[in-house]
Amino acid sequence: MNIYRVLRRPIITEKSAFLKEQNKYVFEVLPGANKHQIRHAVEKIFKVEVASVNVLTNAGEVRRLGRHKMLTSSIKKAIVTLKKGNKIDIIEGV
Amino acid sequence: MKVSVEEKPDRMVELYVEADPEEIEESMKATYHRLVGRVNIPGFRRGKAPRPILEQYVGRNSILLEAIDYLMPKLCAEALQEHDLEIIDTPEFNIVEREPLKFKATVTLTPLVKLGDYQQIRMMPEEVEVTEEDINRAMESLRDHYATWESVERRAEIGDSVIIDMEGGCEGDPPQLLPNQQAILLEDAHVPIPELTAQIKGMEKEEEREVTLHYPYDYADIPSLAGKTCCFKIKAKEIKEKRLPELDDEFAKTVGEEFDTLQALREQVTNKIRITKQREAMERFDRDLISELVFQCEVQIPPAMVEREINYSLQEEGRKFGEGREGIEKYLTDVGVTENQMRDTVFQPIETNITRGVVLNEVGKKEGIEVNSSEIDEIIEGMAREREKEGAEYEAVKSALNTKEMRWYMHEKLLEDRIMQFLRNIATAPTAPVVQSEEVTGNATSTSESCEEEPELETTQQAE
Repeated sequence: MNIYRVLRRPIITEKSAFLKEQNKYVFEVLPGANKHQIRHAVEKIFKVEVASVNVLTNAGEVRRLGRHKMLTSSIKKAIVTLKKGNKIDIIEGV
Repeated sequence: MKVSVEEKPDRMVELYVEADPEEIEESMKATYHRLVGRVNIPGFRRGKAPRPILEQYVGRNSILLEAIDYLMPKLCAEALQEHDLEIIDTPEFNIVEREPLKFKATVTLTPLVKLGDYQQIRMMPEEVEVTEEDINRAMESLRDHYATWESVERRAEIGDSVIIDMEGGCEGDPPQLLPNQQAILLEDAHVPIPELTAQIKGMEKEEEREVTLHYPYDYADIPSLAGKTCCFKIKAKEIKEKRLPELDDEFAKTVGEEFDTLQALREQVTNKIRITKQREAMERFDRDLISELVFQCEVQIPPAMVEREINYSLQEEGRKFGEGREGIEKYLTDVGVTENQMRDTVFQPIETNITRGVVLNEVGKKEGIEVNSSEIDEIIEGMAREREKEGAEYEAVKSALNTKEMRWYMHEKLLEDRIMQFLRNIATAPTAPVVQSEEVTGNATSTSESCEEEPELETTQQAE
């Protein structure tokens, strides 16, 4: 898997802003990515040291469009904890 | 904050202000707190988004501009206080540079007044005299007021009142019936138009006539009829003659039960004329006194202040006809003048009134003439009690009078009255006694100051 395709986007929410204070950064990742791949991608792209990775998947929801039922896509999130002294500058101001 | 002040003509001043970075940062923080509760950012509850997120969402420029909008008046007020400047209107801001913040504020200062030697003003109000002619004129006016109209069978003459039915209309309008119209035939009648008077004159009772009226192009009473030709069929239903009552005791009793005789009525009329003349004389005296006071002073009224008052007056008059510019246009059309003509004529005394007000205020400040809040409370209490005697509800009247606007109005009116009374007392005071020349030369060193104080009186007396 191409490491540049693992991380899709940073998640910017109230919770992620709170977690950032604990040196944790939240990303939306490819559903097929595992923790090793996520760690490797973050370390390579942002040049930081990762302490741990936690993942969770939010299942898609069924929505109705007219008479048809549709399923929105699932989202896999990764909460990446960096080692002390590391930070990701791009998301720092976000 | 760095401030530089540049004086301009007509009591205008330009302030060049450069804000410190700390002041800007403080204002940005305050703006962030103000905005964050109003903006709904996805992913965050209202009021919970951190500052960098808000800046990214709305744009740092928007926050900066809003911060500047709040900061400029604050810094301007501090600058004015620092330089001890008083202004009359809101400042006009121009941003020279955003970061670091540099702006220019143009302000209009309060009028400058240098009082003259008003303590030396001496004048007396005119003596009031009630002549026989005045009394006779007033009595004739009373006779006219209590005149009766009695039906006569002769032809209508000038001075009569004719009840007519009118049927007809003007060009372009549908015909209409106007029954029981009263036309008083006067020599110089212009209501509705002189033509009608001439055509009714000489009519007999129950006579019918056809009249054609040509309304002039400048007919202002009913603009819709100006320039039109109207045809009416008129029928005189009744002709009445004015009967003036005789001047006797009976007439006096008709005017009022308290007048037993004609002489008592004449005395009351004389008294009223005297009071009216005294009031008019006092008004003329006040006007002359103020003119003299203003003449002695050096006053600089900023044109911006006069312009503001004229605009306010124009808006107030226009409001009777409609809102905004439309109302003003309708008002000007109704009066029949352009805005410039209105400014040059009707509103021309505004500058005089402002000058008067400013000079009187300055005299009041110098002499320490004040009006206390408790005095206004007493006036309101008195007025409420008076109205209660006439049947009004005390509390309702009191709360209607106790508003901020009414209190301000009463304060200003009372203050002006007191200042005017002070000036009247000075103007009507007798001149100081003359110091004899032996007393002055006998001890030159000790009386040198008094010589300086009263040389004018000495020379005046010697000249006499």
